[in-house]
Parts: sequence; structure tokens; C-alpha cells
Amino acid sequence: MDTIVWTVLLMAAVGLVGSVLLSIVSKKLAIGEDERLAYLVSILPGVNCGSCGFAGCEQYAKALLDGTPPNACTAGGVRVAEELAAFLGVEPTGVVQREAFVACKGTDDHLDPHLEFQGVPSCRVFNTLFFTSLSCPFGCLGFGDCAEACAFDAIRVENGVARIDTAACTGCGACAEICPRHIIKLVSQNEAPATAVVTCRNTMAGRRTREVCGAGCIGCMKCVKTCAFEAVAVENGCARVDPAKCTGCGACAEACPTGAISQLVFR
Amino acid sequence: MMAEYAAILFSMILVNNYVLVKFLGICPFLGVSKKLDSAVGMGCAVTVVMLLATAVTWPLQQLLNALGLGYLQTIAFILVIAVLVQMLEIVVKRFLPPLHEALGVYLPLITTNCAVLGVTILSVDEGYDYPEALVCALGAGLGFLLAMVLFSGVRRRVEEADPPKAFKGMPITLVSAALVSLSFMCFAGVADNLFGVL
Repeated sequence: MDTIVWTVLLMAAVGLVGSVLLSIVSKKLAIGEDERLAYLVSILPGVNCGSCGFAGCEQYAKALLDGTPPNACTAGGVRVAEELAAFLGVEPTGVVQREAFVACKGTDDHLDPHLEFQGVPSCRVFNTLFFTSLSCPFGCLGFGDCAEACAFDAIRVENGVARIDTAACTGCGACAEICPRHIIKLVSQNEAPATAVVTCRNTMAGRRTREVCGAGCIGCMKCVKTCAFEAVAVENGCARVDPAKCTGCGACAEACPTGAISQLVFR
Repeated sequence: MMAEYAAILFSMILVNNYVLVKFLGICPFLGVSKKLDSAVGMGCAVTVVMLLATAVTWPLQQLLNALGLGYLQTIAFILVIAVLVQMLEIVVKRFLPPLHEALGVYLPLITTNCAVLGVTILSVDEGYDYPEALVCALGAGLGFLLAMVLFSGVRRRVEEADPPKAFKGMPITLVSAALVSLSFMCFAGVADNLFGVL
């Protein structure tokens, strides 16, 4: 019984002395924080994605007060940039809405399944140690490193391939940076409300692509011939869309025999 | 008397270096050793916390012994260390804001730095009296500082080198940490013969 009483008393005493000391010290040495800073932080998305080039939202808010232009927050997009600019009393300029997409549609029904892999379920580990295992060395590995990196919960791995929910994606680019196969790409919006994107990055010959994947670009040039704006080109056996020229008409996506071109609608 | 203090001090710095020989406090050792100035800042912060913590926990241990509550040692010590680290953070934030920024999350993490808990518990276990325990804590802190400074130098060289892809980043850092640690093993015999007391 005594032991319990003494234990409680002692720990309470240590805790009390500590907390009293701490509260005195924090009162004495408190630093007045800038009120504008707290407001700026409240405008920013607050997910610390790092797309602005600063360590987190608070560091960016501090830089804003020092005169950094309020256009670096790609995650917040146009709305946040306008709010920041209005508060700081400057013109909102140079904000570009970006969206990310996965340049692979090689789902399990299109591709041969993975080899038996018993290691750490991570694309980066897999890619570092084994280089390739899928029948397509360009495709999505599907372990979901990007989904883990996404601060907005916009990525799901479905059927072995990552998919990005355009409504939730803010274009911060964290996933594009982490993808070891570099198949997550960012597109910037121009005037058009949508753009065509090629969801494949393989440079293999068309015949080989047909053998291993039913959804890959075979370099057949149909999209190039269809496009009325010269926005599509085939390089190294894989089609690419120039988003600056693309009007989002969707003709190439319809023409593609393997379905390797998709329409991406901006937020 | 002085020789004993010197023996404890040197054995804590070189022979029983907390990071490189006893492998305690590896997290800040790897985390903050990228730049020399933040490494020095971290080393000094840990030294201060070790000294203050031992100054408080040694009498606390006597109290625990008197009350027969020896089993409370770990939790009571952690409590004391947490309070001290919080206080240190407030002080550093107030007077040395650049250091506060450079150390970042590693400053509050000193709370769970096992080197700090290690020095408080081990100086009790070794049966040191109060001044000896303080010297031991000072030595441990200086040893930590020395390890941080040495390793930040090694790390700068590693950053400039171009290791194979599989070794880039943390792997090569751990390998070089192992080599630095190995080099400290050679002090084992030196202190024995120098002071003849250990």
C-alpha cells in the first residue's frame, strides 16, 4: 500500500515541479508571433507537400511575408493564390493549374502478373533491386509508393495500376517525384478545359508491345494523322501530346486502337 | 582524486564513446550530422541536457532508493529529461532561432535520445558519487559532440564522392559510420595504460 502511495506522490511531485518550471519559462521567454503569419498559414492547404520549394506551409508563409510572390503553391491552385494575393495586396500572377496522371494502363488483365516477389512491397525497393519483373519494363509496378506519398488521398492502386482521382489531385507533384519508373507526369493547363494524355511510356517495337500488353502505345501514328492541330507526335515508338497545342477535342483518344490515349479534364 | 575524474572523463569521451562504441543516440547522429554547424549545435544541446539531467536524476535516484521505488527509475528519469528538453527548446527558440531551425524535429527528439537516458542510468549503475556522475555526464556529452563533429566531416567527403547506386544516401552513411566506430575501438587499450585505474 505504502509503495503505491509513495509512487503516486513522487511522480505527481516531479510532474508538478516540471510543469510549473516549464510554464514559468515559456511565459518569460515567449516570442510574439506575427498574426499575419497565422492567417497566411490558415489560407494555405496545410499538408506540407513541399511543391512550393519550401519545407512546409509555415516556411512558405514566412517567405510570403518577406516578399516571395504568392504563386508557388500549386497544391492550392488559383483559389489559394488569389486569396494570398488579396491579403498581401499584390496581383496574383503566374499561377498554373496542374494535374498529375499515370502514364500506364497495363492492368493485371492486360499484363502478365508480377513474378513472385516476397520483399518489401515498395516500387522503389523493387526497382532498385530487380530493375524489371513485369513483362513491360516501363509499366506501373503497382506497389503504391505514390499513393503513400499523396497528401490528398487522390491515388488508388486498382488492378495493379495506380489511378489518380482528378477531382482530388492538386498537382503538387509529390507522386511524380517518388515514382521510380517516372511514369507519373504533370500537365499544366492552358486555355483548353481538357487535354489528351498518352497513358503509356514504352519505347518497345509495336509488335512486342502487342505481345505483352493490350493497352500500350504501339506507335501506329493514327493519332498523329487524326490530330487537326499538330499536337501529337510519335517519338521513339511512343506517342506524345504537346499540351500547349492540344485543344482537348478528343479525336486522338477515339482513334487510338489500343486505348492508350485518355482525356484529362482539368479541375 | 583529479586522476580519477580525468580517467572517467577520457573514458567517456574516447573509450566508451556513447555513439561510436556503445551505439546509443544513433538517430540524431545520422540525422543532424549533414552540416558541421548543426552538428555542433546538436552536440552542445545534448551535452547540456545530459549534464542537467544527471544533476537532477542522481539525487532523484537516491530518493527512489530511500523509498524503495527503484522500479520507477526509467519512467521518472524520462519525465525529468522531457521537462529539461522542453525547457531547452524554449530557450534555444528564444535566443538562437537559426539553430532552432537547423535542428528542427531533432531538438524535441533529444527527449527520446537513448544516450541521455543511458548516461543517467549508467552513472547510477556504475556507483559514481555526485561529482563523478556529473563528470561522467560531461564526458558523455563531449564524446557525443566529438562523434558528431568527426562524422559531419566524414559525411561531407561522402557527399562529394560518387558511390554505386545501391549505396547512395543512407547505406554509405551507415558504412562510413561503422568505419568511424571501428577506429574508436583502438582507444580501448590506451586509456587503460594511461590512467591505470580502469
